[in-house]
Amino acid sequence: MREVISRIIHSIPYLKFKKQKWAVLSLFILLTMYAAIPFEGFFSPFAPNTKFKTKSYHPPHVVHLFHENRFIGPFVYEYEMVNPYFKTYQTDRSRIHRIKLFVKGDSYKLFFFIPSDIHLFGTDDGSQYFPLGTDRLGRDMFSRIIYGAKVSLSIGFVSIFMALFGGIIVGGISGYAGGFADWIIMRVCEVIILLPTFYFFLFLRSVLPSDISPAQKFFYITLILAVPSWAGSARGIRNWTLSLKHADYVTSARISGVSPIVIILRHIIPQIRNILILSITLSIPGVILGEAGLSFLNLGITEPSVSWGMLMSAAMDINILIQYPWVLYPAFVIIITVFCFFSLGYSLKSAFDPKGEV
Amino acid sequence: MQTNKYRKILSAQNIVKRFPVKAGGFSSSAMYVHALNSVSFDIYENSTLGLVGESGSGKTTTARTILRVHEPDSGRLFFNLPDEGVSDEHDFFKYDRTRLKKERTGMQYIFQDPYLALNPKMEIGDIITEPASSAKKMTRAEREELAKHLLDIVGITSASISKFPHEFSGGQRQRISIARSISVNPKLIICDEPVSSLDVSIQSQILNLLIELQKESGISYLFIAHNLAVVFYMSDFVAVMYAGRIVEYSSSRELYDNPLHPYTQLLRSVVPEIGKGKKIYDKKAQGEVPSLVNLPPGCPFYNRCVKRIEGTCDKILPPLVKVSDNGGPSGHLCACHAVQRISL
Repeated sequence: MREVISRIIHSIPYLKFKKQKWAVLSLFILLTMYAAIPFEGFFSPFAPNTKFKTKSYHPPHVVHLFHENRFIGPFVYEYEMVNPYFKTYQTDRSRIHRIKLFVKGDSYKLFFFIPSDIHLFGTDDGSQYFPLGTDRLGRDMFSRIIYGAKVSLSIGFVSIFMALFGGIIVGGISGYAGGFADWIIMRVCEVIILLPTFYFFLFLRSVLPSDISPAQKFFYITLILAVPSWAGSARGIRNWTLSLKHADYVTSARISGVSPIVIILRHIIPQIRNILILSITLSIPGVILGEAGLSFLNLGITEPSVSWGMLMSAAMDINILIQYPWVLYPAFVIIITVFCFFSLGYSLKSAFDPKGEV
Repeated sequence: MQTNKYRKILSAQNIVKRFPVKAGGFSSSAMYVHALNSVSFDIYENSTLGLVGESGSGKTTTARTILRVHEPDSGRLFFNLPDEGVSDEHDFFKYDRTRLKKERTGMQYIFQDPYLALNPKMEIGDIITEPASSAKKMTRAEREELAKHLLDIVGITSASISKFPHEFSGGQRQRISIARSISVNPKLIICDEPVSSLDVSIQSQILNLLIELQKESGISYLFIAHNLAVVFYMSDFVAVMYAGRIVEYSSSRELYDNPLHPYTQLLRSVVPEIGKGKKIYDKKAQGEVPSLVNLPPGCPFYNRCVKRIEGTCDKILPPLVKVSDNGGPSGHLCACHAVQRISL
């Protein structure tokens, strides 16, 4: 019974958070997005790099339910290319493709290791269904957006956790040790914070070699994106350490001979746990946008990997954007994700931090 | 009282502690707050030394300097040593880090505010076994057993082991602090105003718990308080501090019956006593405590003193000397020119 009461008291910030409907919706959307990553092959009808040469810039299919005033379930009409130069398509009302659930298609790996070829939806006759159209090479946008989530969503987390790890070590030591070490570390952090973030990304990116594998590229980009947030979190954690290091329980631990690292991890970091959760939530969208920006300029993730920013780079040409507006769909996905993170972050902020300390 | 009954557990000799003050701007002149000015005292085994004085007199600084939370500027400290063969290398202030960690487990500290002394995010069991588990490696089961045993001693149900500090009252938290401090079987516990933030009814419980622990395991206390009544109740010996100096030192009984220093008399006169009715203070406290940055050359209490001797007290600092043989193994010590003149 006591434990139950203790649980309830500890979850007060969460209860407060639950009252905010937008935040709960955002959390739900984000969790769905992250949960879908291992099922990317299952949810997407095609592999990200499957090209259909005759389907370049294919418009999004419209799903119909009635054929000649008769209900036959969801289906799409065949779109036929009539002008190969301007990629214009015409609907062929005589040929219908029914949309079915759990159809066979491109092979993929469920959870990245279980081989499978069952997809959530597709047409039953082996023809193509493009819910969000295709790009220049005839690749399905919907599938590519789903595959892009892996890089775009994980880069935020990985990068923020790298920044936080560095921030805890450097900021904790800086605040706890004080003196000259503190002075030097804080001046370095200030210089990094002062640099305009995006130009700093560009500078770091230009230093890196260009002939590296996609995995290495992912790693480097993550690292680059972590640098500015590292400086920010180091500064924050240093300030908190400074204000908590003269707390009686810290002095008490020092007298008992507990080592400084253990004191930082056991006595100081847990006090600022909520603040850290908050700062993570509020920093992730910045990193996602940073990755999108770099990839948009073809400086981030490049083919054959897929990321939302990279998909958006197809929309760089205004003529293409006007003729084939569906290439802009990845931008909406980025906007929704960023909005969800901010909405979640600000609700958490009011729950965890009513005094506005961050 | 027999002199040979007492064995020193701690001997502080001429401890000086100054804190630098930022003079501001580009000034490079060093200014110091003279927090402790040549503080010396002894603590005997299985006895309690009470340390009284007003706010800012250096009581807490004394305690923290003994523990080397603040490093002293000069002075020597001998702690938990045999009577014979003690040399400078046994100076507690000169121990290196490993030796300090080992020897310091013999001293523990109880903080004034039980709400700040316990990490709010840690379970009680982990809090009270922290000193013990940092001194030597312990398994989870050993820690749990120790925690239950300690909670039992201080009278808290051992089922509380996985609770958090916010689930306890102030008095219970202070018991938890006590449990934490006795987890390593210390020789000396420094109690820094352990009851001043508690309810009066709870105060006596905590004081009696401390006394019981002393009876059972022979711990010594350095008991800091500004409440003279509490100090007389707890202590075998009392040292009175004023402006970073000890001005009077004697056994508790002697000091209660026969306070000599004018400052002690002032403190003594404000202790309420049952049956005496409303007391009219004949000597009101006048003047202020001197600035600890610019200490006066003479007696720091000069400007408030009713017995001051002009020409002596404001020029010459009175040393802490024995003025009578009553009051424990070192006699009754007092730092006052007026008192010393009479007794000589």
